[in-house]
Amino acid sequence: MTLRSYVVARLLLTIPMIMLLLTFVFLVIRVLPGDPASLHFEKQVDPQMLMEFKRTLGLDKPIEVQYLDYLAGLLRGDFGKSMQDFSPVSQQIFSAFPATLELAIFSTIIMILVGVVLGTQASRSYNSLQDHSIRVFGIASYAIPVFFLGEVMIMVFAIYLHLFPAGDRLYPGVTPMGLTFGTLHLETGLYTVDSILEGNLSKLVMSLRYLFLPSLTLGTVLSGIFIRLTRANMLETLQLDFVTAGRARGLRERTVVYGYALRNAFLPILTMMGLQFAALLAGAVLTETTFSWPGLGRYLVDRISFRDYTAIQGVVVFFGLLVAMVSLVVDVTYAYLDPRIRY
Amino acid sequence: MTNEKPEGRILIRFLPALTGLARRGLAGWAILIGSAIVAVVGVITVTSPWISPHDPIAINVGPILSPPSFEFPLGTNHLGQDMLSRVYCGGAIMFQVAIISVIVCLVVGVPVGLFASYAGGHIDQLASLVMDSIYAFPGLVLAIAIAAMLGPGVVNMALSIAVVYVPSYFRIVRSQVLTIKELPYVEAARMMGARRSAILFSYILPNVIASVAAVATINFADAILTAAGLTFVGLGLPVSIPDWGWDLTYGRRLLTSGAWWVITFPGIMVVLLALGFTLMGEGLSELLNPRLQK
Amino acid sequence: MKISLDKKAVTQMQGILIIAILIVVVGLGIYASLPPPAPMQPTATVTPTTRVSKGKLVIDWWYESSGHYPQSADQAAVFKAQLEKSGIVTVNLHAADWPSYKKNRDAEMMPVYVYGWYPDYLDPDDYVFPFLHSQGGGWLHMNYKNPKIDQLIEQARATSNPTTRNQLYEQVQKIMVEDAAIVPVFQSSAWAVTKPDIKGVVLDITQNMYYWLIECPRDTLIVGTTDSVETNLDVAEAYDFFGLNVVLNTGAGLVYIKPGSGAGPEDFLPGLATKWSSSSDGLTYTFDLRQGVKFSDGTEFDANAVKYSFDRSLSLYLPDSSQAGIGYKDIIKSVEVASKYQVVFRLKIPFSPFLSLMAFQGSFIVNPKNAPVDKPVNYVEGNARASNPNDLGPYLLTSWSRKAGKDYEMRYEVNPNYWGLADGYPKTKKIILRFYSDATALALAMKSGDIDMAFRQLTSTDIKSLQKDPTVKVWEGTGAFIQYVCFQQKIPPFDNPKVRQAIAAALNRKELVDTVFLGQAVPLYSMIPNGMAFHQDAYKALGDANITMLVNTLKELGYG
Repeated sequence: MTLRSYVVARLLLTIPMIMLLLTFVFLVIRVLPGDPASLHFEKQVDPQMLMEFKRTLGLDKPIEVQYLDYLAGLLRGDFGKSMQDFSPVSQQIFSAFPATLELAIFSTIIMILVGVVLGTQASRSYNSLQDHSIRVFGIASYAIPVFFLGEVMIMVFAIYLHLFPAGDRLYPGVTPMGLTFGTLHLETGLYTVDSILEGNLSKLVMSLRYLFLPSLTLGTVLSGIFIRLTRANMLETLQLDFVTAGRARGLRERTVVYGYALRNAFLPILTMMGLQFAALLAGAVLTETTFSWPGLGRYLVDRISFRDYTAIQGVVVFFGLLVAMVSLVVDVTYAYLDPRIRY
Repeated sequence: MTNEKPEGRILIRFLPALTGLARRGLAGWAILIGSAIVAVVGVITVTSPWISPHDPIAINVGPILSPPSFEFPLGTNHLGQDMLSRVYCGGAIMFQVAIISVIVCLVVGVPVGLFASYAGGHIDQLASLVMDSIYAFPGLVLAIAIAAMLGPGVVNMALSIAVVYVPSYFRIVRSQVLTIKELPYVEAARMMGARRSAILFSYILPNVIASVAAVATINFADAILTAAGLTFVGLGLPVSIPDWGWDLTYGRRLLTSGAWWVITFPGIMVVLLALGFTLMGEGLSELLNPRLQK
Repeated sequence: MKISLDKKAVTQMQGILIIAILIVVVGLGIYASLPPPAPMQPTATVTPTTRVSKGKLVIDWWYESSGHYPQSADQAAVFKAQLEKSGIVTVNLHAADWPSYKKNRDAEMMPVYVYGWYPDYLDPDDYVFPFLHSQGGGWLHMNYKNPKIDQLIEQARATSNPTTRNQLYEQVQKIMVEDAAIVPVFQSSAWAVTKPDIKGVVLDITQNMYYWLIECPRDTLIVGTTDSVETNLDVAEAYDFFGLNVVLNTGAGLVYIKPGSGAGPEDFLPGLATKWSSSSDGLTYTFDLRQGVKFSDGTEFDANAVKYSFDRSLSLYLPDSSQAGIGYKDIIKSVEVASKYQVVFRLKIPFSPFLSLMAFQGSFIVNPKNAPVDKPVNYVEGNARASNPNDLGPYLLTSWSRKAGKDYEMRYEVNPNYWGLADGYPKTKKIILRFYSDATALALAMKSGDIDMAFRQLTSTDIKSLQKDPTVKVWEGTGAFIQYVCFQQKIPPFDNPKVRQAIAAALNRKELVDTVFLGQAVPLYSMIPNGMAFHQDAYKALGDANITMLVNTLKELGYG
């Protein structure tokens, strides 16, 4: 199979997976006790009123019709309107997504930095105290509940030391505006990028300050896997001939390790990074709740408590597509970079 | 450690086995330390009704929100409950939820994995598709959805966690079965007319158990963390059951007024317990498969 | 067939066995010592199970667990402890998140449940009719019906004579205690925290935040809150606390309740109406309107605008609107334009709280040009003008942004057409509202000085620690939010008024308020709150923390 047909096959496979996901969520949320219509009323008992309201939400139709209607809307690109405040779900998702994306990007950076550097160091000093402590750290960091670590960070750095803010993501009024060039307005929603586009250094610094604690928390907790992966791969690679050759030629140890060995061991790390990134995007719920980070995870949890069917379905489909896309890109990059692999 | 008598008297070998583990390097130590931590926490939990100085859910046993002191070594929370007693007793729920969810996972994931992958063909493909879809779904979100659906309760929480982790068991079992299925001696058995179930249980299962055990211990840790996470999002148990997850959740709100002790001590316990299981699991998987890559 | 084991595998098996034994032993030990796990929650279709064993009385006590009511879990824990002190009661706590809780309420499956209430219009009727009247209280699904109390309530709403009303409500409150169908527990106080240089914060029983009264030395007042608009700002649909607050500050009504007053019959101030009168039979109300008031587009305000607003709300009668919830159509027959500046309301029934109803935001006047008659006005991204049909108030909503379905920022600026400008209102010309996701973030923002004022919601512990903080000023006022316990009379033994009374008597309201709210709420002994006309501490007749009564009553019925 060539690369092209592999990509096509994967893209096609995505469709039944999304369908399965959608069907599953569609049914599950309708089984949840309580429904979005009744949440709008405090004292209403008139069944006719309730029925009429259900009609405006489209909930009076039989479930198959609701399903097909939703599907038809999706194919048109319409995620429907929220059952809570009637504004378009796609708008809400796209206003929440950049926050999650930015958090994911910076957490990945920290995850990779911590994981790869520590893992490499551990592999260099095999079976030493440094190696063992790094390995223990790798395991321990995974065992800490992310929200507990987050709370400890908040407690120490925000409440006692006042070094970093305790949550939220900047406040309105200092939101970076991105680049405005005549009538062209470029705004990514990623505050760091937008402040650079705007050329505003203080906003950049502030965005980074707000980002620091949440990314550090999430990045630390997930770095354990990378520590172990890097260490294992590096241990193998460091024994290979070309590394010994490099050393024999008198290259500095650091060049040998980072320049030669790491580069070759990097491929599986890259794959894992891609997979973790997708998981980050999809599952930063706890971090977002702890740090009051207004991202998709928190949005989803809020919407579940509102039983906002359209919003929940929209987010799940969005997640599914995102994860499928990212894993596809990762797999293709892997296949591209490693000539040994062909599908 | 060498063993000249494979047939048994394993219990007599208990102590030598332990020291044997210690000599197996870091992995062995990990198992030992992990088990020790779990055992200690377990003992504390089991003896909690006798060693708790106060009833963990009795309100106003002490002044509201007082810092750690002689009388209340871990302080009191906003309802005047003794934190020490709550820390002692809070683990019971964690253990319950973790054990039930692991049992459910084993009972569901392992047989499904065995039969589906051994049968092969369409059954295998269908099972893989379903399991992969569940696996691809963000774990916590799925647990939240199911927990919201089932309502609060120990069994319900355990079930929602189990659903999230069944695919992991399925995958591990499946990868093992696929490998073993093709081995010569299995094929030989098949050709000699052994029944399918006999092959599964006598040949494949024992070799699968090792990997499953590794996954199961890590699953314990995950179950505990997910249970705490579910409570954090508001899907926990009624407040009449002492629960570390609840203290973690509520303790958040008390941080701004300086009451650090409500969230810290239960948090440390959760970390310890999860750490214990994780160490055991990692040590086990390292021992059984020294270059196991995730 | 025997499997051949090699040495390595045996060691592995041994290791695994050891661990397995450990786990099993620990697990068994834990199971042996655990408290009984919480019973599986019945779904809405399962019949409820309050077992009437002739041992202790088992009460399945439900509370809402997703934060809709303040600290409901803590309250439940305290209730449980208090009732179990009698030794003759076992309380099983059950939690449900808000949508499930509502569903359970409608399915009538919760034997005992706790609910809360914010008033719509400030009149004792709004605290009595929706609870004790068999029709008005239907939404609570308690299956409580007493024709005598129905009659008294209906009489009390029909007459405006304060003496008669007093007598009637006295009787109502007496029967309320005799029947003990619903037991009020506490009334929360209202709190706001500001920087020390802020003046003019009024916290009264309406629990409205009158931003136009607040004086800030800086020209912009920055307010932080954790609230968010739940549906929209359309008078014909908005029914959530914060949405109505925005309507209050950007819109206007015919009359206002005097800020800081007790919302009594003498406490009405002119708003868009300068004079008003009612007919002797209480079926006609005439309002003389303020002249020279302009909408933001320059059109003059007159009786047609009033008629338009009411006709629109009543014809739309959206199911989730305040008008439908309160039952405007059962009260108002028609709105007539008597002359350019005079409007007449004809009522279907005499309704003495009518003026309070007119002071409620559901009766505010919209700008006809911004409020189409056939559909509600929803949030429009980036366009505050299109999102808010109210512009007769002290402020104009100049900016409203939402992110991910929650409010992000709102800006108010002084309305150049506001009639109160001559009197110096609004005192602060610009207001910025910042929305925080939870109490912790809000408390930190207040402590670090990012905002000038924090209003809703801070935890009791935060307020207590802020009271000790010299860099902020904490304001306290009477609140209007009450919480009460409901009994499902379809489930024995809660169909027996003696049992309900006994439970009501055993509650220690002071302990609850002091433990859970650190004294930041007030015990409540009647559905009519403290500070409102005709209030009486009716439930005090049963005693406080009256465990003896509980024990005796239950013993008589065969428990213990």
